[in-house]
Amino acid sequence: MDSGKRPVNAASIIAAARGCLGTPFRHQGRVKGVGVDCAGLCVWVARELGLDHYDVDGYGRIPAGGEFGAHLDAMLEQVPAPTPGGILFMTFGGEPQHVAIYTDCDTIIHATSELGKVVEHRLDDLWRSRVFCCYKFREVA
Amino acid sequence: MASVVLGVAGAAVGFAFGGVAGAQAGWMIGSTIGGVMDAPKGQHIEGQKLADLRVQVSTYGKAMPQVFGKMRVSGNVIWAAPLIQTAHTQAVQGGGKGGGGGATQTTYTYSANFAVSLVNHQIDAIYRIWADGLLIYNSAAGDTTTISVSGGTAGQAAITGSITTYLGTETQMPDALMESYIGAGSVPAYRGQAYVVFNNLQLAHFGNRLPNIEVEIVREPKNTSDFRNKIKAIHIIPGAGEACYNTTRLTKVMQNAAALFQGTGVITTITRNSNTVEPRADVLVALDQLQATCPNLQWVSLVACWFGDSTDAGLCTIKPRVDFPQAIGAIDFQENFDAATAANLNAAQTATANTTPNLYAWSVGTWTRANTPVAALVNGVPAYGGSPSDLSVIELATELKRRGLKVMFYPLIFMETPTKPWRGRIVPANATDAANWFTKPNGYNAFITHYSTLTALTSQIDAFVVGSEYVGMTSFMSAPGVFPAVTGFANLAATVRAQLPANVKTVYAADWSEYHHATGGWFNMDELFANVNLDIVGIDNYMPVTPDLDQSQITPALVQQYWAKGEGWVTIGTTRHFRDSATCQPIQSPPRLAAPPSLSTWRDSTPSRWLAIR
Repeated sequence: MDSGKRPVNAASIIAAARGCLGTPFRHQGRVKGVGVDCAGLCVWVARELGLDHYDVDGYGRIPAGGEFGAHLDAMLEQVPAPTPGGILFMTFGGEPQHVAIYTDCDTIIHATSELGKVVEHRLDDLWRSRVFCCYKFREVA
Repeated sequence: MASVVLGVAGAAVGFAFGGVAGAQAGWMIGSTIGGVMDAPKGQHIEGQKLADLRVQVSTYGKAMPQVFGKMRVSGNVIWAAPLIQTAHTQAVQGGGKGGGGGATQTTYTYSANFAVSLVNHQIDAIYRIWADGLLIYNSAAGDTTTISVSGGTAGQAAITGSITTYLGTETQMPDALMESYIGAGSVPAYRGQAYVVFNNLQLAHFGNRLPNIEVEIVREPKNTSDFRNKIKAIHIIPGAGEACYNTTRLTKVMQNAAALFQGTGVITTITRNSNTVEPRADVLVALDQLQATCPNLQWVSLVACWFGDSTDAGLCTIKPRVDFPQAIGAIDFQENFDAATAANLNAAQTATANTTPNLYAWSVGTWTRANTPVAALVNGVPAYGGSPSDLSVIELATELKRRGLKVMFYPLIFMETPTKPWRGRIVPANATDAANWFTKPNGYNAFITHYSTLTALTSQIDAFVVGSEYVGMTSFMSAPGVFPAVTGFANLAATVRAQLPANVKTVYAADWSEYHHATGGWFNMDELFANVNLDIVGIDNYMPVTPDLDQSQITPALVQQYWAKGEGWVTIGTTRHFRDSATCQPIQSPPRLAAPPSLSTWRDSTPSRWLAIR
């Protein structure tokens, strides 16, 4: 790991994500306090922690044929269960297309277009049922 | 109706109750037609928005209900997020000249996230949810935790959204939607309270205000499994209702109603006995629920009623009734088996039914809709339903046997006189009236023997009730020690015994007061109770066990003491518990022996009159 970067761990990821709570939802947004989308939240958190190779742009609002999942597979490490500071890939409308950051207290932090901002709430049965697969940042032990 | 009404654009309404029509009128959203038609090139037309997006009311201090059994409750809004405003922008077609245009129009729709508290305890299930009276959730159709709202009527705004239900357990967790607004960790879980959370409920259908939410919930009695498990026999009522026992679905087609009400070409079809959400006959749904509630059920008594028309035995005739006549003015009816189930009719059913496929005709013996009196009206509504058709009792008895239950068939008389008296009030004026009450045309014997000779029924039953609670008849003494109606029942028991299959038990269901009569004689029922043609004497037991004390003085120990005492407490005319004190005379003081509460004691203390003979 580059010595100039701060240590990346679950706590720092979660803290960075919590710092974005309330940021408005903007499609393809990447800036805390201005606008992020669900992927943008994760990208901002990664950049904030010095992991600057996690972005893709120019994608549409509706996922195109597993492209999103392919990017996640390429950039992140898939794990069998949610891990604090990890990322949950979630299914809406029959296709995985939403990501959220899992915390250390069984909640998720994510940018939702439905509520128009970044929110944190419990991973209840409904949200849990939407989880398609789980990832963690490779840099996190 | 206490609806939560939101502010109207440009006019702060605050909150208001009722006035749905007015609220809807006030909530029309969208640009005027004129604005659309005259849209200049390039102009953007902004639709109206709701000025005030706050939910204005939910009631603090409202009592939280407690519900027992199944109940439809309306809730109290305990949380509501600001309305979600969705903009819909679309290009507007310009006028003829020039074309192109490029004008756009934005309209807005609104949806709401809110939580509705129901009751202050745990419940077992949420069955159905209504919004402004419209059924939007039905547990029979989906998931029990989170479900999609469906419903709506063609031509009206679609109803979409989802509902999360909380049954009030002590382990339920905070709602995720509420947390996303208020913050994770800042939302109570409302443990011990049942509530529902609506997610993104589209409001257009409800006049852009929160609809009045009503929820059907069920709370089963707790710690009563022993009690329910102990129930082994039960009556099936109502006993009256033409089609209430049909296990085949029936429909009624109003043939000429088209011309009268609907315009030509429209024929109205009504389901007669399938009124639940399930596509089955009502009685089948009820039996499923019954067996789920009472898993050890063994016996069912199937009550079927005809009607007496006078408490004077000399005048009283006993006939079935129908719900409606064959034709009312210009309206005629045709009754059908539901097409989907008609093919499944068994041989016994089709033999009893009409020969025309699918056509159903009500009948009880030789009584048909054409020659049977219509059930009398009280205040414009039927005092009782009609008599169950022969086919319906055969179908139900067959179904009960199929379920492994034993069936006691219980023909019963309802009194169709204005005060609807108890059949025990039928009293003969003299010995002739008493005897003729049984044997005359449309007398009691014709009623009973119709069923005892209905072999499609008697092949499906295990016991048959010859009579029940005819206290006024059996206590009539024409000469010292002579009880003509008791003799009448004894003779009828012999007739019925000969007609029934050998395995079917004959029963007299006595009233608890029936084995003595009003003027002081005792054991008037011996001739019937000891009759070889009567297998079972049942007692409808409402007898007071203890002296007439204040409720606070009656203890379990006292009840046990008097139960074992071997003597009942004479209460006729002296107790508020007696069912009809007006017709009962106070008896001698001090009180004397009345009904013995415990049958075993009766057996021990009065061996000579009853058991010895039997």
